[in-house]
Amino acid sequence: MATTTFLGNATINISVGATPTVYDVSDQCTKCEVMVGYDYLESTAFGDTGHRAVQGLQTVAVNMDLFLSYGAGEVETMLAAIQTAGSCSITVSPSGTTESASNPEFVLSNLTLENNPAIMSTVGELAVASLSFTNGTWVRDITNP
Amino acid sequence: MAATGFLAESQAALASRLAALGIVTVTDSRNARPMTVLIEPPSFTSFTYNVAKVTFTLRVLAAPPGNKDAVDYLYTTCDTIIDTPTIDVLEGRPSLTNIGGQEIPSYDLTVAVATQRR
Repeated sequence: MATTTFLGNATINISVGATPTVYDVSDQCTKCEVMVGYDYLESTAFGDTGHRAVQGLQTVAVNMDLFLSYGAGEVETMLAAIQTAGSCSITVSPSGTTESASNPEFVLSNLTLENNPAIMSTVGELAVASLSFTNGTWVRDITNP
Repeated sequence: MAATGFLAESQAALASRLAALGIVTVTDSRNARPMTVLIEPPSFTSFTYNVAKVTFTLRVLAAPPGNKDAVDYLYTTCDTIIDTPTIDVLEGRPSLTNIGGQEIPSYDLTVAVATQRR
């Protein structure tokens, strides 16, 4: 079934602000989980022998672990900008920015950052920020523009 | 050809911080000698292709024999290194280092450096 396998970082770009500043955090990210779906609304009717549901609002959950670097264009600066802006957009694909059936791109908009782990300092350990984004909408794109 | 890349850069950064303490550092084991600190090639754990935790062993070399004078020097030099906010010393242990058939009293310090390529 699988014709291609790779072990590599996802390509992750985070856009912040009305005139977006784009942060490419691919090289800082060791884990990225994107979960998309819908709220399901009850549509069970008389005569049904089981529950039925229809799609409601979209749901998005993104978890990622980033190396917490400091400075212009770095992760902590981006987190502060997201907090100031109130939301952000994330574009994620498994490998590179060229969309295809084997490299689906997910465009996640109007996400909110749950917490900003501004300082994660442990002596002798890499500073890793575990981030969670929720809310917003999602689009799956496999067509290269 | 001089080494390039994050391992060489992190070693150079560590050597620079030790030099700022007035410590003579050596990265070529052929030049290891008493009253210097030998920085051995590191081990590392990759976080991504851009970020890694690099772990060095510093070998603090005293003058033989391993008497109290040598131990005093090792204690003092180790303390100077440990008491530096920009050098993360994780652990240390006494050791003997063989240089040219001569056993040198020494201390091994494990130092961690977080590094990103860009």
